[in-house]
Amino acid sequence: MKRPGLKRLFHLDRFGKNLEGSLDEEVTFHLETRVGQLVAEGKTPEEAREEVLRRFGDPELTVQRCRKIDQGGLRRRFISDLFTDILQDVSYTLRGLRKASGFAIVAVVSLAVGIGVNTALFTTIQAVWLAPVPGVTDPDRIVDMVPVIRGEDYYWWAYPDFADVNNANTPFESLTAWAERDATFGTEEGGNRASVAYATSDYFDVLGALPTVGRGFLDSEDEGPGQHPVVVVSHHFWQDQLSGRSEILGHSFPLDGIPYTVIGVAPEEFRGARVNRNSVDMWVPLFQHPDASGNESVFRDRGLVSVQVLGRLRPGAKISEARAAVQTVFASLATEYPETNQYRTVKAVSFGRFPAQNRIYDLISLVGICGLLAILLLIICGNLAGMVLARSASREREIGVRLALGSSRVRLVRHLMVEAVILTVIGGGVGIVLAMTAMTRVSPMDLSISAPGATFEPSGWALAWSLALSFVAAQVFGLLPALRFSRPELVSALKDDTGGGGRRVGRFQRYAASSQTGAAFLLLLIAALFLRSLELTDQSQIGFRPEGMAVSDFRTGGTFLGFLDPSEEGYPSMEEGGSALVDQLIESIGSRPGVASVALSTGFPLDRSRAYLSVNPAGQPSPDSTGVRVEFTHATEGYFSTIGTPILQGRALLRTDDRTSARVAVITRSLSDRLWPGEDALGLQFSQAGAENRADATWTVVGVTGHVASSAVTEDLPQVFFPLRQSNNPNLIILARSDTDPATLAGPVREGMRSVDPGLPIPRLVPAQSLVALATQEQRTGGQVAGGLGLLVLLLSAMGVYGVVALAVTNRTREIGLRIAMGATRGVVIRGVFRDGLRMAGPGLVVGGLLAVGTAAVMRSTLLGLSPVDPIAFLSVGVLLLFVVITSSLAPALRASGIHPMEALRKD
Amino acid sequence: MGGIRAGNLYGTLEMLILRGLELCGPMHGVGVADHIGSRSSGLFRVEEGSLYPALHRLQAKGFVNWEWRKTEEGRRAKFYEITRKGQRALSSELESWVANTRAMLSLLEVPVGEVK
Repeated sequence: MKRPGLKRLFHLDRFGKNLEGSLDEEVTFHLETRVGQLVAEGKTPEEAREEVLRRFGDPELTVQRCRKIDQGGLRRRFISDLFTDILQDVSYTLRGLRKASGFAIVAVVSLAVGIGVNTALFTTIQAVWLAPVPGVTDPDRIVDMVPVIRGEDYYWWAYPDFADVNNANTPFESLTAWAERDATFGTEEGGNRASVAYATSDYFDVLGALPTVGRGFLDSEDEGPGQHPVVVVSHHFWQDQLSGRSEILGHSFPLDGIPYTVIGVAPEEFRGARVNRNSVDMWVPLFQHPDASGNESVFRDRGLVSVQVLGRLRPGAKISEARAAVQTVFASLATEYPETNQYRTVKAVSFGRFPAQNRIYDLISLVGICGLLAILLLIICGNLAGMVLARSASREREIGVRLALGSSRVRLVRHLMVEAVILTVIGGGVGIVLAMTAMTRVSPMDLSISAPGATFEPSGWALAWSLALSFVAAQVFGLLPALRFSRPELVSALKDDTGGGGRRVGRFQRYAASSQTGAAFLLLLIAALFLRSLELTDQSQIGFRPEGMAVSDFRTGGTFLGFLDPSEEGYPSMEEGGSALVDQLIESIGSRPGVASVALSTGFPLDRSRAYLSVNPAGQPSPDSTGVRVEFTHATEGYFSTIGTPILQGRALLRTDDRTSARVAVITRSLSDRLWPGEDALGLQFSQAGAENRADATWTVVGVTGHVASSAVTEDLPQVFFPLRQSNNPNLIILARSDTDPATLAGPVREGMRSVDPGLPIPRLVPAQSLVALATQEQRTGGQVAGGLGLLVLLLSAMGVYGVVALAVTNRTREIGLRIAMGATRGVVIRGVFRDGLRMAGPGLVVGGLLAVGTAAVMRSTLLGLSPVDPIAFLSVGVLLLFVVITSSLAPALRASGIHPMEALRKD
Repeated sequence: MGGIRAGNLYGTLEMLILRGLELCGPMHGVGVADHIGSRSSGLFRVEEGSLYPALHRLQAKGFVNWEWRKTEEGRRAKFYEITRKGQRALSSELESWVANTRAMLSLLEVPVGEVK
């Protein structure tokens, strides 16, 4: 009586056509039995029937009610049948995949990679894009006021301009001006560098980061230079440098030699207004800035730009109102002080979460990578779709038969979809889990992304994004082939064993394979361009010899080199004859054994300092000429021999080039060619653009060098080298060269500095080669990412090409057999297959190549000026791609050529 | 899957049917009707027709199974049999029914012993 549960579900006979009959029969049986009983008791049949009907009620109604109930059950059954069918499909598919484990593994791994990298990337973008500036509350109301001078963005304000805006009627609740610099905070045995923000009183209000302990700055502290030695320390500074002492308020420590009193501790997460690598260690009133010590004039000089400005809007105020209000102030300033303010205006940028902060650059590159990764996933899906199609091709006739026999299309589509969904669930699951696990182990810092405080926490959004991707992936590689194969092309499918040409491989697969090849071409080409551009930064191109050389860094940690400022160490500034310290240092360090040469300078090629100047030939004032943009460095004697750049003409900088002698400069040949094409530059004079007649802005060329790399690897500007002793720049670095290992320089430099003055901070010595490596980091990372992806895509495209060509060969077995029977040679057959593969890859390669040229043109600066159609890159990648296409077609071609005519014709 | 709707006539009827099938084994509709009639000593005067919707409902819920069989007289009849699921539902339904009844009785301040 009982049937096994599952089997019972499939027995539809109980609900089938005999349902009505069985209901009637059941009721009839009841009625007849009862009538029989009553008749046996002695009633007449009529009486009995009447009695029975009275006791039973309306048989018709009963049957109807029963039918309704049964049909309800049937509907429920249908749903559970559907469920069971899907379960069946699942187990069928799993069995099928176990048989085709190669396909399953490739599908799962490639989906895991595709979805995993997209998950990781989304997490990264989310961290960078959505991460607020840590510790800043209500950032939407904060506005970054960026001065614009002659149409160019300029970060710095003149303090009086700020004061006027601050006093004007603007939609700002509060405004702040601040400047950041490094200062020495002293312990007994020597100084340590600290990053200090000098800010006006409303700084913490504007940023919504009021000190958690103690207070912020008072309005009264916004005046009186040097009269308010108070400091708000950051939480990390308090913990690390002041050992987290409990009675922190009122504690005092020396900063640049002046005792400062702690009045507050900033919120733990707050690291300053800017998202930088180096977070601010402490905040001090702006009027404590050393530039102002003893002379308040810096706060009145409109020519001196030195502060940055942020404002907090009143609730409900719009950024456009703020812009208009501030521009009105600037317009009146321009008429009032034309000599300084004529070309100044200001723009208001949302501080927000994005994009005022420099994270935008990270974001652009991330979105670029994102595009590449989306392509990658698309390729993977296309590939899998092709493979599914190839697998289905062998079942084409089976499917045709099933359709002909009335199997529903829905059922067939469902069957094919189940496979896609299973693979995506496994692949996507593995990818998501791996990516999220991996991302918790890295921090944005590890990826050179400047988003302190941001973390790569797995988030619901990232998960949703990945699931959406997986869903799309399943649609693409499951539904497309499914729809295509369930399309009732019965006749052709059933007929196609007549030995004709066979159906060509579908257009879709050919496009998929072709676009993969194109994408591989694109990615590998970009990788190759990066590699080529790196090659260009080798020594011959950078114009100096980094090996054996070391550079000082007076800051612990950080991306940029820290400087030595003589005036901060109690020495007179350069203007006041501070070159004595320079002389002593060069002599003392240079005389130590192991030091081949030493120099002091304000910069070093590829140090990313970016000090620019525009110059024109002297005495030729041309008001409309903006001049030649150059990068300048102040350096002592020994600079060129230390960095290893030969002087081509004239002389190097000398010790005798000081304040008492003529203003001279060494320039690169590229500047000489720009200023005086075809002339000998030696002895000629050039001036700062706009000051062509001023003697203090005019220099005589005494030497010419070859090409020297700019401070940023992405630029190639002419260089100017001025004598350090003629400059006012207080920021010095020490360069030293050793005949052996630059690591051996640390001892001599330290001893040399100690013997001059034991109180001087001792720098870290960085091998110049590592600085060069740091400068080209972006190119290397770009090359690695593009190269890695490119190889991945190359592998995928090889699989794709192989799949399509192999399928084509299989489909045309009969035709090829016929041809061989008709006398075609092996060579002809192989050539035919190759031609097929190349014809398929061709369009993809062309499109990929064009895209690569476009991308390279956009990324030109990152690619160090490399031509987008660099022949070496194009040729090498093109050859590689052709090789892969041919190799992928090789196996099918050989198989085709080995087809035995008789077997081929007998097949099927 | 709903339980037996206790507290109304249908539910009670379904419980009676299941209990009958549990006690007596497979029966056809007439047998079920006779069984209920005899056990309730005429207390339950049900329209016999309403038995069939109840049976079909039980079947839709999977509480009973059925099969066409020959009766002793050699006629084809639809025999119902309680399923395991039906047994489980019945016993839990009985339990709560008894509990409810006891609660009601104590609310009505009728000593339980008198009913038992």
